[in-house]
Amino acid sequence: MGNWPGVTVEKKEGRLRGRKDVVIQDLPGIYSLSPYTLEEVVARDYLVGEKPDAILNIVDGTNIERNLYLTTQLIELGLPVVVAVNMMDLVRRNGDEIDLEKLGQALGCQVVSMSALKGEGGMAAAEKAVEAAVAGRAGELPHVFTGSVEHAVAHIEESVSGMVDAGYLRWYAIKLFERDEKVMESLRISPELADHLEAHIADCEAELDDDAESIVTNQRYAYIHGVVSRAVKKKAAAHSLTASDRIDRIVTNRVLALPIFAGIMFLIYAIAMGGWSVSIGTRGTDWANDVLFGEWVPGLFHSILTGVGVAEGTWLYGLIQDGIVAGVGAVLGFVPQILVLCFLLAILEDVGYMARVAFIMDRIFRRFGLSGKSFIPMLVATGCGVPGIMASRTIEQDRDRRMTIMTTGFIPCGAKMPIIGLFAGAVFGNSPLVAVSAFMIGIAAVVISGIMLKKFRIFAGEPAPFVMELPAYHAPAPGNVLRATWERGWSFIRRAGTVILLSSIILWFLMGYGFEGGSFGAVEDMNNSLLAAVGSAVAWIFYPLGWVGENAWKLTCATITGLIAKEEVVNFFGIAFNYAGEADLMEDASGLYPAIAAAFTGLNAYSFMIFNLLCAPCFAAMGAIKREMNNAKWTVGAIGYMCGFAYVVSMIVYQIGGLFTGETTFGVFTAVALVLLAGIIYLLVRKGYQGEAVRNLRSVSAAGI
Amino acid sequence: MPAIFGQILVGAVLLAVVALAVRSLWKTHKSGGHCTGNCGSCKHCRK
Amino acid sequence: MRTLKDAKVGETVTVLRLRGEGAVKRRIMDMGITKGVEIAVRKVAPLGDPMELNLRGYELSVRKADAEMIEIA
Repeated sequence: MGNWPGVTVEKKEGRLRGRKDVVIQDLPGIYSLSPYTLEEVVARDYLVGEKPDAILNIVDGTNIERNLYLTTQLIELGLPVVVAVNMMDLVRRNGDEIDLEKLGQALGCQVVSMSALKGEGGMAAAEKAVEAAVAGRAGELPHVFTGSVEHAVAHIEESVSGMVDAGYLRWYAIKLFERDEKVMESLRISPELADHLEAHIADCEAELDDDAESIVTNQRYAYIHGVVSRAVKKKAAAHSLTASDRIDRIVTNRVLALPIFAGIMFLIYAIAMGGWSVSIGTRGTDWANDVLFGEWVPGLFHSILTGVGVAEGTWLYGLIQDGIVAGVGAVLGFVPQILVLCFLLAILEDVGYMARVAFIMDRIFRRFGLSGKSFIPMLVATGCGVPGIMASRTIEQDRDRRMTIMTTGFIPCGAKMPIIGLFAGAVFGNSPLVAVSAFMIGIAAVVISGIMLKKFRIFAGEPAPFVMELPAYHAPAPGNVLRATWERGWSFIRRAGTVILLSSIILWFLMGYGFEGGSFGAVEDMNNSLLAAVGSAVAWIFYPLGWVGENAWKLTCATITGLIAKEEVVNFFGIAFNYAGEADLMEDASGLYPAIAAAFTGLNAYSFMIFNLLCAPCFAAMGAIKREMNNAKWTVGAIGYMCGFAYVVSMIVYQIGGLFTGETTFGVFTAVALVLLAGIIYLLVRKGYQGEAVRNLRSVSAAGI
Repeated sequence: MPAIFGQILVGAVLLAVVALAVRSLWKTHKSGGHCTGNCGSCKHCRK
Repeated sequence: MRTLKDAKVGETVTVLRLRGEGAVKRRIMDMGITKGVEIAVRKVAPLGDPMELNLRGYELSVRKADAEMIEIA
């Protein structure tokens, strides 16, 4: 068991290379074994509940004091502990010396050195941990605390000695001394015993004039400070500037920080998303869409299929080419862009810049219940929502990450551009204001949702103090970066092979089949397809949005096909309005303008556009939401919220806007729209959920474990 | 080779692919999703 | 009583006491801000919040709202 620092490595179980009988469980990175964050509770539940044979505690040698704080707590568990001091190469380069032997003696466990960056010592550390596990004996537990605390702890140990596993006795006693509610609950301490323990704790608190939790933390740090001052020789004076600090003086400088941040963000955008010659990501994706999945793969499937006797025009050929290859290909086309983007983000993260991003942007984003790190997903989402949602992975706090995932989809992505372009051209005389307003609506949707949602208990419930370490900058480790890139890229490809594959098949069937001329089969006219039937059946839902008349079902169906990929909306209009031209509608939809102009008024065109910009994103993005939320309820909640919000906003725009243009008269839905508008304003200004005074939350039980 | 064999072959491959996709989804569903390393979104961690 | 929030950039201060209780206080203590520790205030973020501190040989960023809980000499 070890806790590897570096890029957000997923919690994993693995086996030691060459030792099939050794299982290594990697736990999430933590600072302490307090009962307050989920990660810490999970880690200690594992350590106490699963009784691992040994703990391999990997500490950062450049920041040894803070790191040993967790070590002292791990040692108290009574399990064999091996401490591996990582980043030894950097320690040496700084001119510092760490006396591993002295450290080991003081802590009562084995201490070895390693450098994950250079790949040194990792295996040796693991071997040592295996040896310790086989020996199965913990070292002598060091006496970290002063007399009166040790005295109280000894009394508590005596009182509960029969109730817990002997090895864990000291750990339990210290937790009880801290009045750890989770431990008290799990031991089912009787009221009499609790009173007895409380007397000892109160005595000690009175003597030291502080609360028990503070006493323990203070003394732990005091002990470590003593150990470190004996075992570590620092070359530089305390609080002196390291190389990393000197970089930071420029990078997070009060004046330069924002321009540098903007520059780095622009660079990432330019390389991964932009439309220039340096934009490797976009060029890769264009190539994948136009050549790989535009010609090569369909060509390959064509020759294979016709080769084995499946002729063009048969249903099987159509299913494979038009359904699967086209559907899955459209999504896989984004892979180059996603890989480039994930690669760049992994570098930023590994170097240590991500923490600075949060530092710089925190002030703005926390007003909307988001995190400073939410900026990156939002920026990326202007290109494609899928990598945008995936980029939210770097946000540690659950609440901030969930909120970011829920709102990132509101940002108009590249695939929504053809929709905006179509209406701007057909209905609004090519006004550039349409595109600008679409962006404004997207950003406003993020801000409004953030302010509304953060006041709800489910988002406000978790205490999220922004106490964040700013790790020292270091050169990116190629292994870490490549692994992070590949893991994220692969999860996307995997999804294309499952969710997207199945939904492509279903939609192909709905679009191509139906009742025509009294019998069921492939349809010539799409108006007779099952999709049209479904669209007509549910079109009434959108009546309040102004999707009325004989074309209502087309709008509904266009929205449904938009779930495959938003640009499909334009393609669908091409088919539904019997567009006969030759031009690729993605590139030039002007041939479609007359039909669209005839079918829409300005207002319901706008209402349709808003709904499609804000409602549930494409299947690929929904898959990303599911993957990042990793929880069915939250996934459904997020997508439901997006649809609901889109519906409400479109309705308000259509109903209230209609009063001004004279398209609607005051009716039931106008009243509903007004009520909804008032509701949004109320949610924006009301006082948020304050219960349990966030600051005083006693334990994570409120976070819903 | 008569075309019908080819069609059956392609149909069988297609069916196998779809079955694999469904199985993979089902397995993910059963195991409560992938572990993303953040315990807030993990059913196992939440017990 | 002066708190960390009032400390000037470039100043080195000593922690006297922590106010409050529960999760936030524990988190702050866990990160090494305990009684008697010396903290150098490195800088304030471009938008005025949070602030960057140096203590126990590493860099930490804390929101001003949380810094208000830390009493200093």
